[in-house]
Amino acid sequence: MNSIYHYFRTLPSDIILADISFVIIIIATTFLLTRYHKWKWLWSWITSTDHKKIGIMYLVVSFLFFLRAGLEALLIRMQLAFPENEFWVFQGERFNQLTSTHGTVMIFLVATPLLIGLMNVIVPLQIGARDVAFPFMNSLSLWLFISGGILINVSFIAGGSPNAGWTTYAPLSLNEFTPGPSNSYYPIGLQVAGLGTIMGAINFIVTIIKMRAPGMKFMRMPLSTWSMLITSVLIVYAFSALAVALLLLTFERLFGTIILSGSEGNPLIWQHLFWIFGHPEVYIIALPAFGIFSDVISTFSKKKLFGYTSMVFAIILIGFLGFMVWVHHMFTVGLNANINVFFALTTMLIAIPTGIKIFNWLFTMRGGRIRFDTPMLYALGFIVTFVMGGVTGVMLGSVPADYQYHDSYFVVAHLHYVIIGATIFGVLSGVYYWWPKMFGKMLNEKLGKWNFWTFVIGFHFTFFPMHILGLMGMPRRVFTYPEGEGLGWLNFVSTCGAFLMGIGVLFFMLNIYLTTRYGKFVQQHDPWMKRGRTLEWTVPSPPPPYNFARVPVVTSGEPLWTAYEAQKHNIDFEGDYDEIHMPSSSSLPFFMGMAFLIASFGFVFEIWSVAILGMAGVFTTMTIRSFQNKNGYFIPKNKVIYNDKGVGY
Amino acid sequence: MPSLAEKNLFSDHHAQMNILAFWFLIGAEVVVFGCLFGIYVSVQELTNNGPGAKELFNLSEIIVSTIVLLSSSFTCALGVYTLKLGKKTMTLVWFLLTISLGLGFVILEGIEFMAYVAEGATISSSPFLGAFYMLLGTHGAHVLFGIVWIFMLLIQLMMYGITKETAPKLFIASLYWHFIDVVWVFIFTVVYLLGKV
Amino acid sequence: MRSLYIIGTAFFLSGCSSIAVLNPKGTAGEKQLDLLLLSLLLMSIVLAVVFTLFVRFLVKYREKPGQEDDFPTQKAGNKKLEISWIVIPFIIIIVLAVPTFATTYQLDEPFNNDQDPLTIKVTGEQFQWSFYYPEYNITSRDELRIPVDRPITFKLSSKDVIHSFWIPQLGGKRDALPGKENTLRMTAIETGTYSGKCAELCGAEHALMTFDTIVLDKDDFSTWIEKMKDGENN
Ligand code: HEA
Ligand code: HEA
Ligand code: CUA
Ligand SMILES: [Cu+2]
Repeated sequence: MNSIYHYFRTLPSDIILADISFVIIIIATTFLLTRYHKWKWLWSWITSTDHKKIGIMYLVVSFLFFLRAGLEALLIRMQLAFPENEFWVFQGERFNQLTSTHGTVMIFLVATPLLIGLMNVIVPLQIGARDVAFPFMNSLSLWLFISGGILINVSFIAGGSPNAGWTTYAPLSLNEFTPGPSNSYYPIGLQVAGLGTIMGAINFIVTIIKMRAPGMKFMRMPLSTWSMLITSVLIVYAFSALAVALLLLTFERLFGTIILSGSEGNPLIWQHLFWIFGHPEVYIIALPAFGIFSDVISTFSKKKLFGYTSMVFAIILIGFLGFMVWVHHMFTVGLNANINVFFALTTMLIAIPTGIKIFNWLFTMRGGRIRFDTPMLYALGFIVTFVMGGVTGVMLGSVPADYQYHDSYFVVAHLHYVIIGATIFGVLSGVYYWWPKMFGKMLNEKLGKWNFWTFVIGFHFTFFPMHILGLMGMPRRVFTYPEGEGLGWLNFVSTCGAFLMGIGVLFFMLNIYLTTRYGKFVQQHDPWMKRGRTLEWTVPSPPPPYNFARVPVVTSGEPLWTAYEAQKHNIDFEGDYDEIHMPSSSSLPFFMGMAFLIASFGFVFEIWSVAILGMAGVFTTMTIRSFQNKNGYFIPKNKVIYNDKGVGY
Repeated sequence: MPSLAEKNLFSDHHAQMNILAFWFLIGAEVVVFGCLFGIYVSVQELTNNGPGAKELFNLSEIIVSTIVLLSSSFTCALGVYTLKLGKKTMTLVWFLLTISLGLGFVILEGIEFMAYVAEGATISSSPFLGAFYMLLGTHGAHVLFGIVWIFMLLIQLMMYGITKETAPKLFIASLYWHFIDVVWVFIFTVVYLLGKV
Repeated sequence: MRSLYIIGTAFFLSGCSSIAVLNPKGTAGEKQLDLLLLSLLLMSIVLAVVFTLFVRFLVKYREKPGQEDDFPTQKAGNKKLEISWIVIPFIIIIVLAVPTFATTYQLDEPFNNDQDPLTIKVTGEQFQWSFYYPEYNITSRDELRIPVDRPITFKLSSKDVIHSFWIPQLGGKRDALPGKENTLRMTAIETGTYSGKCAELCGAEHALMTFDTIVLDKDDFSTWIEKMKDGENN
C-alpha cells in the first residue's frame, strides 16, 4: 500500500505521459465501442472458442505489445544516438527498465504469441480439422497470456518495470539490490503467461496427433504443421524449466530463500535454469517461422518443397540439439574448459541441420516460376538476413572469440539478425500470405512492398553497424558511451535505421487500415493465383466456423496442387453432409484470466489479501468448469449444405 | 490388455485425447521436478553453518509418512479397478480412502515442517533448507491439489454415476496420483536416504 | 595466420585501427583475433555460396510473362546434393572447432613460475573496480597499471552483484562473481592506455563502471609502485 502512495507522490514526466496516454486509450476505446454498439461484438470475441478467432486475438494483442516494445526500442536508440547523450529521462535506472522490458516483451509477449496466434489459425485448417482438440483450453491459454502481458506492461506505470535485463540475472534481480515490486513483476507475470503457453502447446500436440483428416499421414503434413508440432514439444519441456526458474526467483523475492544469493547461495543456478529454457526458446520462436517460409517459398516458386523428409528431420534435430547448447551463453562465467568446448561443439553442430533447411529452400526455388509478392519478399529477406545472423551465431560459438563478443553489441546484432530475420519476417510473411484466408481480403501489394523495403533496409542500417560497435568495445545495456572512442557515428546510423523500421511498421498499419476499410472481398478459395498447395486453400476465405463442411480425404502431401495438376478447381470433398458439432463459447477463461491477474497483483505488491482473493477466484472458476456439462451445440445439416453450396465452386 | 469395460469407457475419441494431453502434462511435471531436484542437489552442501540433512531428518517419522502415501497409491489402484468393473460405491470408498491417506500425509508433512521451524530451520536459514522446502513444498502442493481434484470428481461420480464423462476423468486423476507418489519415492531416496549417509 | 590478418584488414578496409578487438595489444587478444579472422573467413565462404545460389536462382527462375499457367516439374529432392550440404558444412565446422578447442585450453593454462607472472586481485562492486597487488601490497581504484611483457594473472571477484571485467584491446572478458574467484590471464605487448569496461549489467551506473588500463614499461611501472607504496604509508 505504501508503495502505491509513494508512487503518486513522485511521478516523473515519462510516467505521467504514459498514464495520460493510457487513460486516453481506455476512454477512446470505451467511447468507440459504445458509439458503434460494439460491446456485444467484443464480448462474442472474448468468449469465443473458435480457433481462428482466438488466433486472431493472439495476433492483435501481441501486435499491440510489439508497438509498445518497438516504441521502447526507439527510445533506446534516441538515448544512444550520440555519445554522452541525455535524452529525456532515460539514463541509469530508467534506461535499464527500457532494455529489460523491451527484451522481455519482445521475446515473451511478441515473438512467441505472434507465432502461436498465426499457427492457431492455420494448423487446424492445414490438417483438415474443424477445431483444436481443446477449444476451451485454447481460450484459457489466450487469457492467461493476456493477463501475464498486462502485468508486465503496466509495471511501467505501477511501481517500476523489471530492470535487470530480459535475462534477470541474480543477484541483481534479488530484493537486496532491486527492492520494490519491479523485478517481482517479471517472475510472476511470466509464470502466468508461461502457464498459458504450456497449455497451448499441449493443445497443439494433441490436435496434430489426434485430429488429422483421414489420409493425412505424418509425412504428408505441411511444414508449418510439422514445425508447430516440434515447437510444441519444445515448449512443454523448455517452459517447464522456466516455470521452476521463475518459481525460484519468486521464492527469493517474496519468501526469503537465499538459494541465489551471492554470499550464501549460488547465483549461477539461475543462469543455468534460465538458459536451459532460454536456448530452446530461441528455436521455439524460429522453428514455426521456418515452417511458414517452407510453405511460402514452395507456393510462390510453384514447386514442391525440395527435400521434404530431410526438412522434417532437420527440425527434429534442431529441436533436440537445442537442449544441449545452453552453456554457450555462459562461456565467460568461469566454467572449466572441458565444459566450454563441449558446448562449443554442440553449438556449432546446429549449423548443419539449419544449413540443410537453407539449401533446401534455395533448391526449392530452382526450376520454379518465382513470383515476388510480399509474402515471398519477406521469405527472401529472411534467407539473406538469417544466414548472416546464423553465421555470427557460429562465430559466437567459438569460445575464446566469444570472450570478446560476449555481452557486447556484437551479440545484440546477432540476436536481432536471427530473431527479426526469422520470427518477425516470418510473421509478416505469414500474415500477408494468410490474410485473405483470415479476413477474406488481400492486403495491398503496393503498400506491402513499401512496407517490406523500408523495414528491411531500415533493419540492416540499424543492426549491421552493431557488429562493428561490439568489436569496438561497446558493451550492451549501457545508457551512454564516452566521446572519442569513435562509437558516435555508427550509433547514429543505427538510430536512423530504427526510425526507418518504424516507418515500415507504419506502412504495415496503414495497409491493414486501408484494406479493411476499402478492400474488396476475394471470392476464391485460393486467391494466390491458384498456387496454393495445402488444405487451408480448399475452403472459403474466410472459412466457416466449422472450417470444413465435409472432411477432406487426403491422398497426397499437397492435395490442392495435385488437384490443380489434374486440371481441377479444387479437391474433391466426398462423403455425405452431416450436422456439425461445435464447442460452445464460454466466458470462464476470461474470468479465470482476470482472477489470475488480480492474484498476481497481490503477489507483486505482497498484499496477501488480494492474492488470496485472486486465487480463490481461480479455484472457483476451475470448480465451475469441472462441473460444467456444456456439450456444445450442433449446426443442422441443411444449414451446412446451404452454406457450402452458396459460396465458391 | 484392456478389459471390455475399459474399452467402452475410455475408447471415446475425446477421452483418448484427454489421456494423451495428460501424458504430456506429466512430461512437463517431470521437467519441473527434475529441475527442483537439480537445485536441491547443487545446494545440498550449502548449509550456512546451520543444520544439514544429517542433523535435521528423522528417518523413522519419514518412513511413516512414506507408508501412508504409498498405501494411498494402492487404494487408488483398487479404485480404478472397481471403476472399470462399474461398481460405483466401491469406487467411491476406495478413492475416499485414497484422499484421506493423502490428507494424512500432508498433515504429517506439516507437523514435520513445524518441528524444523521450531528448531530454527526455516526457509531462509540456508540455501539447502530453501531448496528443501521448495522441493517438498511443491510436492506437497501437488498432493493437496490431487486431493481437491479427486474430491470434486467423487462428487460428480455421486451425481452422475460412472459415465463416459466421469470415468476417464477419474482415471486421469488416478494417473496423476500415481505420478506424485513416484515423485515421493525419489524425494525419499535423494533427500532423506542419501541425506543420511 | 598472417594471411588471415591481411584478409581481415582488407575486409574492413579502413578504420580498422579504431576497432579495438581487431587491433589487439595483448597475447590473449591476439589469439582471439586469430579465431575471429578464421571464423570470419569460413563464414564468408558460407555467405558467398549462399548468396551466389540465391541471386542466380532468383534471376533465372523468376516468372516471366507468359509463364503464368505453367506447371514446372516438381522435384522431390536429390540425394547427392543433400549429402553434399551435410558433409561440407561438417568439414567447415571441424576446421573451426579444432583451433577453437586448442585456444580454449591454451588460454586456460596457468603461467609457470619462471615466467614471473604478476597477480592482481580485481574486485568489482557497484560501481567501481579496485585492483589489489598482493606482491606489493598496494591497491588502486578505477585505474589499472600493469607492466608490459610480463604475464598477468587476474583474480576476479565481486562484492555484490555480477560484474564482468573487460579490456577489449588486451583480451576477452571474464565475469566477476560474488563468492567465487575467477581467473583471467594475459600479457600486454605494447605500452599505452586502453579502456576497460564492465560488461555485465550491474545496476544504474553499469555504463559508467569503466577504468583505464595503463601499460607501462618496466621502469615506469616500478616508479609507480614506489609512489603508490609511499602513498599507502602516509
Ligand atoms: C531466433 C533466435 C535465435 C536463433 C535461431 C539463434 C541461432 C544461433 N545462435 Fe543465437 N542468440 C539468440 C537468438 C537466436 N540464436 C539470442 C536472443 C541471443 C542473446 C541472448 C542474450 O544474451 O540476451 C543469442 C546468443 C547467442 C550466443 C551467446 C552469445 C553470448 O552472449 O556470448 C551464441 C553463442 O554461441 C549463439 C549462437 C547461435 C548459433 C550457433 C545459432 C545457430 O542456430 C545458427 C545456425 C544457422 C546458420 C549457421 C546459418 C545457415 C547455415 C548454413 C548456410 C550452413 C553452412 C554454415 C556453416 C558451416 C557455418 N547465440
Ligand atoms: C522479437 C524480438 C525483438 C525485436 C523485434 C526487437 C526490435 C528492435 N530492437 Fe531489440 N532486443 C531484443 C529483442 C528484440 N528487439 C532483446 C531480447 C534484447 C536484449 C534485451 C536485454 O539486453 O535484456 C534487445 C535489445 C536491444 C538493444 C540493446 C539494448 C541494450 O543492450 O542496451 C537495442 C539497441 O538498439 C535494440 C533495438 C531494437 C530496435 C531498434 C528494434 C526495431 O526492430 C523495432 C522496430 C519497431 C518499431 C520501430 C515500432 C514501430 C512503432 C511505431 C511506429 C510507433 C507507433 C506507436 C503507437 C501508435 C503507440 N534492442
Ligand atoms: Cu559492473 Cu556492469
Ligand atoms: Cu543460445
